[in-house]
Amino acid sequence: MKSKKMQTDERPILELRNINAYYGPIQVLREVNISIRPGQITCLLGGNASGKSTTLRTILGMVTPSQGSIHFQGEHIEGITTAELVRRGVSMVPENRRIFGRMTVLENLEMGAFLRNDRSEIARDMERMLDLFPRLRERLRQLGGTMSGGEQQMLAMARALMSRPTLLLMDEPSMGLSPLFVQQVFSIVQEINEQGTTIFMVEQNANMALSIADYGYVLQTGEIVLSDTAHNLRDNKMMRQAYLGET
Amino acid sequence: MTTSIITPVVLNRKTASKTMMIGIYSGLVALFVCLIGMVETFGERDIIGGIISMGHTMLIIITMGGGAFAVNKLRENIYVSTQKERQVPLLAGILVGMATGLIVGAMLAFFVFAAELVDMRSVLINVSPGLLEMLTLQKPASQVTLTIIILGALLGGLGASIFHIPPRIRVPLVVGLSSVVSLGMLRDMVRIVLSREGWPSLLLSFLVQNQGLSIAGAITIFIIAIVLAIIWPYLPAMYDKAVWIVVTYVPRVVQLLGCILFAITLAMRIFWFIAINDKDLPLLPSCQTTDNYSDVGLSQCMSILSKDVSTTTDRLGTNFATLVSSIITVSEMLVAAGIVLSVIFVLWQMWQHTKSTRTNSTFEDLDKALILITKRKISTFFGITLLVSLPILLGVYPSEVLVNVGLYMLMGFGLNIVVGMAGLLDLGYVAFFAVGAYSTALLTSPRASLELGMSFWTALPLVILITGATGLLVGAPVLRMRGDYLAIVTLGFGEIARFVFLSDWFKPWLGGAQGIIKIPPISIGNIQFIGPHRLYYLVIVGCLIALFISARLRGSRVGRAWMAMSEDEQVAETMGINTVYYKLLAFGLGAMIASISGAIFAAKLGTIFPHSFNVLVSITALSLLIVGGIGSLPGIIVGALVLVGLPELLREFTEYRLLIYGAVLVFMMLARPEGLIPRVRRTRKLDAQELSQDAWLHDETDIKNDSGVALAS
Repeated sequence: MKSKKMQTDERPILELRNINAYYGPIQVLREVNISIRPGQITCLLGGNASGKSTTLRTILGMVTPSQGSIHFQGEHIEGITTAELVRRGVSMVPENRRIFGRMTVLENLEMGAFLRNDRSEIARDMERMLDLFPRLRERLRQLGGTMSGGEQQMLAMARALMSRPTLLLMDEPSMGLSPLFVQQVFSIVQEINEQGTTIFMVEQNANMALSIADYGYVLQTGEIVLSDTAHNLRDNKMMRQAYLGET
Repeated sequence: MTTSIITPVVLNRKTASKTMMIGIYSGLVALFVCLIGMVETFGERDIIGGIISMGHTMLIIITMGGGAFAVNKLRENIYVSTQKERQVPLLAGILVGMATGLIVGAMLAFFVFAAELVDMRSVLINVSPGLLEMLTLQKPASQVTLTIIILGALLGGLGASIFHIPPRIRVPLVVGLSSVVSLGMLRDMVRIVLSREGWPSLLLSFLVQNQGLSIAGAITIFIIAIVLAIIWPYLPAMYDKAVWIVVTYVPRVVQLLGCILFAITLAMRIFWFIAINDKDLPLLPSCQTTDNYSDVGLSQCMSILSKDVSTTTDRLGTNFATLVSSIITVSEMLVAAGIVLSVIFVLWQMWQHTKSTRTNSTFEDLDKALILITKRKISTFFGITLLVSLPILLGVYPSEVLVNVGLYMLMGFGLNIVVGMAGLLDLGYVAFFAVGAYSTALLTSPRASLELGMSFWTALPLVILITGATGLLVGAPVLRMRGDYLAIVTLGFGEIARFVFLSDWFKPWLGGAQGIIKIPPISIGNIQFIGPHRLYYLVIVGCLIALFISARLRGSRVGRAWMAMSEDEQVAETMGINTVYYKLLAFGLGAMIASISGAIFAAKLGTIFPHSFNVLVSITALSLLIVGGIGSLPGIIVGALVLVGLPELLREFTEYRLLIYGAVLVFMMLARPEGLIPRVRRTRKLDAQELSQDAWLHDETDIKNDSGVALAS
């Protein structure tokens, strides 16, 4: 399966070209080039304050790059609103889950399908999500804010998937979760990917991320310092020292 | 766990100092209300004529409240693992309460003593002889000092012992006392309502004396309240039983006929009320006796209100009036006869029934759904009846109060869309109310600069559109703001609106400080909506429409989008919600509803000035949302009644209105931060403790590990 994906050499589904972004006078991203190929899991690694989240926010149109261009499915998407981007098929699992705490699990999932009108299909997707995350089915009528961190992460993922995205952006899905649960999340990410959704993941947990990703970028103080297939990155010496915890 | 073991634990040094602090605080509160003149002003109003005044009641409540509060605090500090309810032993509790009361009494006594010696009036102008007379009960200060202290201690002890009365007795007692106090406070209202014809005049003279309730009246009210409080828990079952009897024994045809007859009577009454009889409306059209009861303050108010109500009887013709009145009389006689007959009929049926099947007539084997539906029908029917007949029952002045309540309620519904649903804190909501009123004035008044003189109904859609557009105008620049910043900016907008209406620059069009005059009243056909008892119906219709719109919006896609937006704007955007659009929609819709309120307000007064639209209107509208419970629709109704209705009824206290207002808000934030009738969604939130209990119940491993770890795989 994996090897088959590696061979796909189509046009990238999302492409960042020479992105420069500033917060006031401070440059956060320098000449960032990222391309995400359809059907793959791409991950962006980096330490704190390296610009990972800014990259995601730039893609989503929440930060306007001062230079460079972003293409989604061959079209320029700089300057369009987040809502419009979601309409075109991008979905986001935000950092720290950020589910709607005062809505029930069911309502959260319905919010995910906000832009869709096909009721029967929505119902079918809902079933699919509840099969994928059986824990959510038990908590369907519970308020989102009352669930544990792990359950909230599941809900955030299910909610993002309810819009049937072609590209799923994930911001630190492993943050604040116990190791056992991180594993679970990553295996579900893999499963989602195998069902045909392209995934772009921002992570600090390089080990875990590279174990499921197809391609990886390493960001350091706003610059891409490394980019290679996940397999090669795992073997890269600098990578191993800096991020994979080897001495 | 006997008293002797706990008492030393309870009465240690720490609790003693705490009790003293509470005593001092209560004493300060008592002194404060004395010094600002509240006690004296309230003292002019008796709860029970000649026996106890409101001022005294206030001090008594403060002292007793201090005692109760002290014991309550003490209770929080006791941890007895074996006992489920933390209970302070009786003796200790009473001691603590008495200590608190003692301190309050001592402070008051000291104050009286000091005031007697030194003339404080040059600084504290409210320390008048009247106040001192009230405190000393018209005796020299030196004699009563001890009495005040002892009285304080006794009251404090009484307040403390409240917790020791079992709830079965305590609840009816408290309900009884508080209903006597509140009816005594509202004595003028009681008098106005009861002095209307149709109520037996005996009732009035029985209940009310010159200054307050009569003794017999107070006792009667007390007993009635107690009886009601006692049977209250049994009422639903009794109601069920009654409905069951009606459903099973009375044939459908008779039920239907009864309803139709009742509806006809009601409709004729309202017709009579609105169209024909314009005097202060006797309940029975045939009865022409004038009421010679006079009350200085409010009867003046009433006569002013009813002055502009001219007699339309002449216009409609005497014959017609007689016809309608005879229809009413006949149909009412029919209803009365119908009631008597149906009671006999039901009794006869029941007797027949018991004769034939003596064995089973239990609740189990009847159709519960039918009862439920019937109950719903009955409550709708009576709800509508009550809504419609309120001004008929109450008369002009209470209707005026209800109209004001309704106008604010309407604004509340509008503001709820902006604040409660979309989560945008708007402190300048009065601007939209003002724009609605001013545009109505400009369009309808023949004396306005535009000289259009449109009718209200042609102007209304335009007014709504104009105000909606204003809402968008205000909304657009503040799109990027949230929370506090938004509140500040909208506060500014509200003030700007007032200054625009006030400004000399716009004077040729908007009239400056003189405002716009000669706004014609609203009319449908021949009926002009002058006077509160008619405007009431308009306002009610407006409120019902707003309620309907709000209720529909809440469950809709738009409501969901607003809710998501108010929780997390950025995430809402990643759900594909166009936040710009939905924010503007909220501002626009909220403004539109406010404009309806403004339009009715303008037509009601006939003249509008910029000064009517100050920031207090916005604050009131927002406070009624908070008091009722943000986002809750029944909460808005209750909030408007409490915050707008009650102060109107207690007009004498205007001076202290804002103080009471503030106190109520602070109390609400402490005691019920989610409002009087919280929104269901908010109460559904479980707190962490309950949640962990739940987890423990379901699965024991969940609580040990993070429940994410114990995830079912």
